[in-house]
Amino acid sequence: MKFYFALLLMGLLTQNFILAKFLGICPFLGVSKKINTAAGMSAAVIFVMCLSTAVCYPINLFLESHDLAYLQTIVFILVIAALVQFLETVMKKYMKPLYRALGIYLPLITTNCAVLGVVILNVDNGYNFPQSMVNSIAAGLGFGLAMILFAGVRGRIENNDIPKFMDGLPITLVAAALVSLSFLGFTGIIEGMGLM
Amino acid sequence: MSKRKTPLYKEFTKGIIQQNPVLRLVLGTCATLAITTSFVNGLGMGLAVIVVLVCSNVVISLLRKAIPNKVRIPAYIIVIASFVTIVQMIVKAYVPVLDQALGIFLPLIVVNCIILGRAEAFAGKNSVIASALDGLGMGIGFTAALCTMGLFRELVGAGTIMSGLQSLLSIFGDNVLGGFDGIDLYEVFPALEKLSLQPITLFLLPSGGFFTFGVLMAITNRIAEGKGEKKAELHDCATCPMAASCGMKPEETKKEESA
Amino acid sequence: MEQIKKAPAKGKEKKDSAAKAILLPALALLLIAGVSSFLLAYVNSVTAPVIAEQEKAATAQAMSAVLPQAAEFSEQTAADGYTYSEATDESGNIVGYVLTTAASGYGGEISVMTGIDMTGAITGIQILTINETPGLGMKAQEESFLSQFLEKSGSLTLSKNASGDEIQALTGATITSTAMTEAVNAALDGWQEITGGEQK
Repeated sequence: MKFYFALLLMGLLTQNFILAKFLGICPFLGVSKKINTAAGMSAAVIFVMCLSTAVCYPINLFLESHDLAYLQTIVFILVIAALVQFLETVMKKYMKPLYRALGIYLPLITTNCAVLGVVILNVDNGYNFPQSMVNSIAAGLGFGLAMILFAGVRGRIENNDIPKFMDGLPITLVAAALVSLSFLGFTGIIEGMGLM
Repeated sequence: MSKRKTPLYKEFTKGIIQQNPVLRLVLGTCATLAITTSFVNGLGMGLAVIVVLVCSNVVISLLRKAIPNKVRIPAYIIVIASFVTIVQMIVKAYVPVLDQALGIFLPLIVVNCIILGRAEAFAGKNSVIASALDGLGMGIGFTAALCTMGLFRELVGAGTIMSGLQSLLSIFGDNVLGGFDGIDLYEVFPALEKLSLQPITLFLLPSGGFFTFGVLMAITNRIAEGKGEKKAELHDCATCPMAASCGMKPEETKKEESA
Repeated sequence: MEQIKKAPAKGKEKKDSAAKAILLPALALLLIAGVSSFLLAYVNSVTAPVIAEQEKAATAQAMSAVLPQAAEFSEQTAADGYTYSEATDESGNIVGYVLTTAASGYGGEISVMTGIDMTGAITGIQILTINETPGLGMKAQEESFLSQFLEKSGSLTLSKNASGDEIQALTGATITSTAMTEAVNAALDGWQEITGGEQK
């Protein structure tokens, strides 16, 4: 139980996918202008992460038992791409409201390294099925937390006078540096609670 | 296609400065931020990307008439993923140090937007030679940006310059570059230690990565503006190479397809 | 062969009624996937032995680095399934044991190889895998940190202000230091179990 709790805290705070692991930077910079789009994107990512982990776990067992571990990268990315396509089609047909909320973010997710990243990390760390699932949820929630927090920060930037040469991307990156720095402060949590 | 008229050497040079994938097109930011904690890591990542980019550009360009338009994205992904896996295996076998340093970011080259972006925007429409040159130029541009960031972060964050260069170059044989294996400023200038000047570790941490990239971006924007060019925009749909295949902005998708 | 299974699904998504419109793209994808699978299998067959050899050489090198007085190492399995290496000198006398242990650090598992001689003192330490924060936890690889463990025995304790036999923690990387100490202590415990009553 303690281990799952540690996984959750690490995914959310100390090992945050965006702010500590640099996975999923493109949507972090691109889709974080407004809080509701950031939330939509995050929800879609959490959903796809969990689904990909659930699907890739048995596939990886199959690959490893047949000495085909070298096909991992290619199989995982294809499974994720196919899954995203499939999900989009199913949502469009049977889950209209959900599609309206998340649909537009789905195609972007195929090339989101956070999704492939979490699948590969689960395999690399040798997590079993429940551990993989908890890790994926934690990573997704951490992604969401960073996205939504940062959308708030960017909202503030928009309303301010930024020196011309820093305007746009540079100031966004410097703001990201500060948010990332503040997350460094959580390091003590894991240590202090004696989780590791 | 207007591209025909562009001289071939320009397909090569455009990626290095004018359309630098990292600093001007803002692609592949994840790898840029994550692995540039040292010059050697940046160089290693850059070399891996050059190989994948050139190979996938050539193959995709060769197959551009054979691949049905509908399945081109999955087809591109298969080609790219194959080359990434090959590079991964070669690195594991011959440069295990690099494999350790790049870790998860080696397989993640698959989802590096630069590669799929060049496949979609260039290799799928142009001749083999032009595509190869385009890939090489873009790859070198990517490597140059990574090396610059790595050099700076390593210097400020660890007080070394190009440390560990030999272990990366060992793939080309022993004692390349006269056995130059980087400089440790604290060994060269022992006075630094006496003045208790510590390296700023923060620059090696994720936060320092964001900060360095932001400053580098500000500098390139300034230079580009001086030359009357547009500054690098945030990676949104207008500049995204995936725009054609994604539904984020339907208006633009249509424009791309009809063009 | 997962990609082959997925290939036909792609065509269907476009909701094309004509069979040709589904079959052709599916076939093209199938072909590309097939060719690349063959290519990968070939490259794998070339590199897999090299990788295995590389790993073996690295392990051998690490082993002789942590227990320099040994001439030969033989792999042994303990009663609980744990494998370790028994080190012997030229004349076949056991000079010590090499144990590989791991503990969770900040950025993942840290795996450490420890050489322990017959008196129970540590002869050397090598870090096999480490993925800590550069500039903080990664400093565990530095000689100044690792050399603290040398010649120590029993059970080690970590401290931020080390005195006597204690291990001095790395500044700003307590988790990494704790993990290192834990891993080495596990090796020392393993040594106790292996030698059992022999060395009292």
